[in-house]
This record gives sequence, structure tokens and C-alpha cells, in this order.
Amino acid sequence: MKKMKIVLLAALVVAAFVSCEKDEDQKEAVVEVVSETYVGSLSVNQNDGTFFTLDSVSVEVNPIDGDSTLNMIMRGVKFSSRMPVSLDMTVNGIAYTSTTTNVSLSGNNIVPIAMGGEFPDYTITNYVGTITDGVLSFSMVCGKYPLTFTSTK
Amino acid sequence: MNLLFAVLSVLFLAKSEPADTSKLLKVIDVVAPIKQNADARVQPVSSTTLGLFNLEEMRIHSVMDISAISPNFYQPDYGSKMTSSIYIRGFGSRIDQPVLGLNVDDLPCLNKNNYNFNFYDIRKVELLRGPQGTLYGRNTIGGVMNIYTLSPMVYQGVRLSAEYGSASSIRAKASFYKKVSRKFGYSAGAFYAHTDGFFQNEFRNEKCDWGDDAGARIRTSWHPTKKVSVENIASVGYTNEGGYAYSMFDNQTNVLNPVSYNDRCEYKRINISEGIVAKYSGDKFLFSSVTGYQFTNDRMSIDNDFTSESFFTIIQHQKEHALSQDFVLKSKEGKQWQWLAGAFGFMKHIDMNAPVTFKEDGIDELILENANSGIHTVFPDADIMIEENEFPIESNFVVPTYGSALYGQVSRNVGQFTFQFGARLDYESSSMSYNNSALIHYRFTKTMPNYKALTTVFKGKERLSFLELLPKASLLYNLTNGNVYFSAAKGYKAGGFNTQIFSDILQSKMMNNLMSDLGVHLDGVGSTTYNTASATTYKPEYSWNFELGSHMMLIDNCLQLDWSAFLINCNNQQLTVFPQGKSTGRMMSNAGKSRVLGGEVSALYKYKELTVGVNYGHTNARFVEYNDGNNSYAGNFLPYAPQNTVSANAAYKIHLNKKVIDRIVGACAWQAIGMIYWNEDNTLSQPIYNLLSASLSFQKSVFDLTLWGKNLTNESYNTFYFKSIGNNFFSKGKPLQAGITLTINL
Repeated sequence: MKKMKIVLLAALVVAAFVSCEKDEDQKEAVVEVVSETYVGSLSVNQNDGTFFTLDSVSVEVNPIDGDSTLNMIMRGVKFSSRMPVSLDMTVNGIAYTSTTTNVSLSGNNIVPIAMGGEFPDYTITNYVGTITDGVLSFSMVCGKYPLTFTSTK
Repeated sequence: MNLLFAVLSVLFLAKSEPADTSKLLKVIDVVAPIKQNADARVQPVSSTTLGLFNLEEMRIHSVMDISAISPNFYQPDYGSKMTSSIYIRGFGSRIDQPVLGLNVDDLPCLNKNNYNFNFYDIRKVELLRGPQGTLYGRNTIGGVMNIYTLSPMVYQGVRLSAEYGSASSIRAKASFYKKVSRKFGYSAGAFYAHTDGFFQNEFRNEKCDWGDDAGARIRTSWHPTKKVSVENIASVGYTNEGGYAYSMFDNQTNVLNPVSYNDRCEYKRINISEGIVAKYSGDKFLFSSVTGYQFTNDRMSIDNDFTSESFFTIIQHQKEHALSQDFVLKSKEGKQWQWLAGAFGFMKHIDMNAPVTFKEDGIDELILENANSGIHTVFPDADIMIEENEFPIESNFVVPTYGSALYGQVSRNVGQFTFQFGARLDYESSSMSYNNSALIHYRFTKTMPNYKALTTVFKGKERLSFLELLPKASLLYNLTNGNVYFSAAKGYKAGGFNTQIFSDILQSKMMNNLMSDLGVHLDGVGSTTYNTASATTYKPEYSWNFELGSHMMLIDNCLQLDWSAFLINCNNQQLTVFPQGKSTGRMMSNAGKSRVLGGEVSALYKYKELTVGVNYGHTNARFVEYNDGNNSYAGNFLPYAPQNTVSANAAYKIHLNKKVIDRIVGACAWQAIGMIYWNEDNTLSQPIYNLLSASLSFQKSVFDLTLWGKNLTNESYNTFYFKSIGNNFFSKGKPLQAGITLTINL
């Protein structure tokens, strides 16, 4: 009888392990966020019914280790055709969540870093974006300018 | 000075026998060059030869004083012994490689900074015009000047002189020559010169072109046998001078402002030269060995903007060690076949640092103004600021160069004709290690509460090497009273490194770094008008010189008449270029092609006690191809070189009864030089200017007292033009000068 109990217990343990392996196999991997540079088109709402579009804008995405945030560096951006200089702008602390199909990005009231320090004139609000199939797209309001960005694959 | 005059007074009282100087000086003037015939006029080359007597009577104290006396030769006074460039037959070089080779006692002078030195006890100067690369190698594209100092084996005695002139100018010299035996002689000499200067720097309220020079030379001659001679010539020179009397020119009003800049300018130089010349005279050949070592330590410190504002200064300090060795085997003169073979090698090592210090106005106007003008279009209330009131751009260069060559020349006499052919295979290799850096602290007032350090570094290494074949050929027809010749020769000027553009490059890189660090991208900021990578080096220059000429003796050998006509085609001509805008540097650029047509005439008439000399040179030197990226200058005249040089001089001796004065010698000279264009587009020029000089000598026994004057009409003329940070500057020639010289030859 005692031998039967031991065999049954062993069978249960094996069954339990088999059951666990089956659960992990069934769970799909989420999209991993890695440092990447995306090149695409930036469209800035001029608040007068027109849009300023800048092509070939580089956006670097750098996840922060041990945190669910990332930094985003936009290289050589302009917000208007009348702007004689282009700037590198860093947006820190963008939150992200990964699913099996994409990465969702969000942020609000982030003061960007530009020209050597914080730039409150261009405070980022309503940042929403995704990384799907290697394509970064986001929208935000930068200071008073609503803008969108979509990278090419 | 008191001591000098005391010595001279004692010598005045000494009883001395007059020397037969004319015969003596004829002997002294005969020098046997190791590569040429003793008389340059029997060769197919245009030349000017001046002996000891000519040099002292014409008051020639430096290479510069031979300007116009040798046709188409011009070394203007650029305000410093370092920067005075040489122009010959329409070509010249503002910086770096010269167009003229210089040999002193057969020892090649390998640093052009040493070309301007004080003459004293010079036995002979021989200037050969036209490319001499076959025998003399690099940087002889315009010619070569051979200078020979006095030897104790041909002159014995004591030579003293003292001079006082305008601007409290003093010149004193003492030397003695001793021939101990037929086998051994030695000599020693020294000189000192000083001037208070002629030009006032109004801002600093002081004369700017003051100067002190000193030098000494020791020579030993050892002739152990009739066939062997060994000479050792050691010399040292010291220069400490101001100079740089540069006046800003307003090209809107055509007004040349007074000299007025705030930072002190000076140039110091110590140069040491040691040469050993050994000769063996066999029955059929002459073998010569010339071994040389030269050390140059010079330091130039200048206000590089030459304005009363504090833009930037530059200090250029370099140390150079140079070694050279020349072996020459030559057949004896007078044979039907004559030949010459040689092997030459040299190496030199330059260690240079040249920090450019940006000062307050320079930081504001040259660096921040450009950057902030773009920034202000977006952020009108914000500035980029630099914490330092001044900061240096450190520039360090190490430039080792070595070269070697094999050369040969063959001449064949056939009847009245002499055919000559020569060639040289010349190899040169050079590298430049550069390390330039600048450290500043900056901030952008809108975003950065504190200054941030920014370091810019530009370092690397460039290499250049050249293998050149330098041929020449000539045909000379001997007449009973002279000769007529035709020659063709290739000239070559080495390539090199543009050390003077590095401050501009680093300034540009620093602005790029600053903007990159800020994350701002401005059009035009940190950009240059030249290709940075290729601007650091320049290529060799080549020319072909075709020449028809003649040397004649006419009117019972009283009239010596030389003439030549020449065509020079030049490729890759090296020209000094000032980058556009408010740039701080300059660089050598290969200008494409140019062509020179010209002619030279020299006449020397001697009859009894009258000597009259006339020299005229003309060049028509134009660009054939030259485009600087913005404009084409084809057809324009080459800048800086004069189109005409005229020199006429006359001297007459009157012999008197010998109670008071033995002789009176009156001499006068007239020089005319011009027109000189100052820029490639030929919008600025110096018309022909005339200089009149005269002297009156009273000779008694061993004494000679001379009253002299230079630029007697006080002609106002410009000798130099350049641009700095977009401003135009001229340097004026020296005004009227007068003085008195006492010479004693014991």
C-alpha cells in the first residue's frame, strides 16, 4: 500500500511538471525594447491649418536598464520652416509597456533637454506612441506644436 | 661704443703702409666653385657676380641689397628677417619653400628663415638665374646664390669698420686673417648692428622696427699638401628685432592708416652653422666633399590681427637641426670632354610649436559673433558665452625631412660649340606629426547655468615623398669676344605642409564641437572655404625654363654686356592663399599653371677711374590656369613679383696729392622696381618706385671715411601686402637714410 502511495505521489509530481512546461510553451514572448535608431518623417502642426514636414529625421531610442522607461533623442529637428537652426532634442522618461505584438509608449509633462540643458519652452505633453514591426510612430505636443513622427522600415 | 671708438682712435694714430687694394681684391674675387667654372660668364647661364670690392663700395649688407642689382631679382623688406621672401624672374614664395637656393661656402642653407643675414667680409656673391636643380637640387627653381666668405689663405690682415646712421643705426665689424704658413691659416670676425627703427607704432607709442644683430665666424684652412685642402667654417648669428610695421589699408577710402596695433611683435633667432669643405685636386679631376650642420632656433611673436583690438596673437617657436653631405667629382677645366658627378644627401628635423591665442575681441568677433548670429534668430535673448578672456590653440608639429640625390653633367667642346647635358635624380621624403588642441569653457545662457569644459583635439600625421628627374641641356657657341647660348632646364620646388592653416582648422573644429555638444546645427558655422583634409599639404611645383642669352666683352674689353631672353612654363605653382572671410590662417595652394616671358640685360663699363653699371630685368608673368573655386584668374599677372627691375650705378675715383687724402670716390645709384600686383585679381598694385642713393668716400692710407645716403628723395612706396581676418595691410619701405662709415683695413 505504501509502495502504491509513493508511485502515485511520483506520478502526480511528474504530471505537475509536465503541466507547467505545457503552460510556458503556450505563453508567447513580448516585444523586447532595444536601443535603435529610427529614420522617418516629422510633421509639425503650425497651428494655422498648415503642417511643416521634415524628412529623414533620426530618432534614437535607448531603454533604461531596470526601468520601464526609455530616452528618445531626436536629431536635427526643426518645428517650422522659419527656424534657421535645427536642434538635437532629448526626451527622457518615456514609459513603455511591451506586448507580444508591439511596444506602447506614453508620457506627459516631460521637460526635454536641448542646447545643453532643460528646455521648458518645449515641454512635452500627450506623448503617445508605438513600436510595431520595427516601425516607430508617435504623436506629442512639443511646447505649443502638436507633431507626429512615423519611421520607415 | 666708447671702447670701439678708443680702439679706432689708436688705429688712426698707427702708421701703416697703404695696400695695393685693386690687385689684392682681384685675387680675392677669384673663387673656384666646386660645381661651376670659376667664371660664370663662360657658362650657358644668366648670372650676376659681385666681389668683395663691389659689395663694400655698393654698401651691400644682405641678400636683400642685391635686389635689382641682379636683374629680375627682388627680396623686399617684409618687416622681418624671417618673412622676407625672394622673387626671381616673376616667381616667388611668400611662405615655406623658397624659389632660390642659397649656398654659403658651398654649404646649402636648408632653412629659408636664415636667408636674410648680415654680410661681412664676403669674398664673392654669385647669383645664377634660372632653374639650377640639376646641380643644386631642391628649391632652386628660380636660381641659386653662392656666397663665399673671405679666406685667410687669400687675404691677411685686420679689417675694422664702424658706422652710424639714421634711426641711431650702428654697424660695427672687426676681423683678422692670419696665414701662419703655406699650409695653414685662420681667421676670426664678428659684427654687431643695431637700429632704433623708422616706423612708429602709434598705439604702443614706440618704434616697432628696432633691431639688434650680432654674429661671429671662425675659419681655419689647412692645406697639408698642394693637392689637398680642408677648410672649417663655423659661424653663429643672433637676431633680436621688432619689425612688422604693417599699416591697415581702407580700400573704401584708399587711405593707408598709421601703424597701430596693441600687442608687441618681435623675432629672435640664433643660428649656428658648421661646414667642412675638403678638396683633393688630382691630375685629371677634382674631388670635393662638403659636410654641413646647421642649427636654427627662432621665435616669432606677433599681433596677428595688427589692429589696436585684441583679436589674436601667434608665437611660432621652432628648432631645426639639419645635416647635409655633398660629394662632387669634377674633371679639370679646359678639356674637350668635361664631366661632373655628384651625390647629395640631407636630413633635417623641425620641432615647432605655434600657439595661436584668441583674445577678448577675437573670441567675441571671430568665434561668438558667428555662432550667436544664428542662435539669436531663434533665441534673441540667449547667448553662447565663453568663460575665458583669452585662450590658446596649441599647435605642435614635428617635421622630419630627408632627401638624397645623384646627379651628373657632361660637356663636350666641338669646334666653337659646347654641348652640355645634365640630369639629377632627386628623392625627398617628409612627414608631419601634428597635435593641435584647445580647451574652453562655454555655456548657453538659456539652458546652462554653469560653464562646461569643451576640449577640441586635431592630431594626426601626414607623409609626402617625391622622386624627381631634373634634366637640363644647353648649346653654347663661343665667339672671339664672348658667347651665345641656348638652354632648357627643369626646375622643381618641393611640396610641404601648411602649418599656418592649422589654427584656422582647429578654430573651425572647435565651433563644430561646440555646436555638436549643444545639439545645434547652424549652416556655415564651423565650415571652411577650403577642403580641410587636403589643405594640410601642398604639392611640388615644376617649371621648364627655355633661355637664349649671350655674354660679350666689347670696346676693348671695357664693356661687359650680358643679355638673356627666357620663357618659363610653370605647373602646380605654389601660391599663398588667404581663406575667405575672417580667417586666421594662410596656406600654400597649387595654383594651376602660369607662364613667364622675360628678358635681362646687364652692362658694366669700366674706363680708367670710371665704373658704370646698368641692369634691367623685365617679366611678363601671368596665370594660364588658376581658379580658386570662386574666380578664374587666367590671364592675370602673378602677384608680389615686380614686372621691372632697374639698377644703374656709377662710381668715379679722383686721386689727389697724398698729403691729406689719397683718393675721393664718388658713387651714386638709382633703382626702380615695379609694377607689383598684390592680389590675384590684380586690383591692388604698387607702381614703379624709384630709389636714389649716393656716397662719397675719402680714402687715406688704410682709412676710408664714407658719407652715404639712401632713398634720397624719400620715396614713399609699399613693399608688402597681406590680409588678416579680412583686413588689408601694407608695409612701407624705409624712408630717407643717411650715415657715415669708417673703414680700416690693416
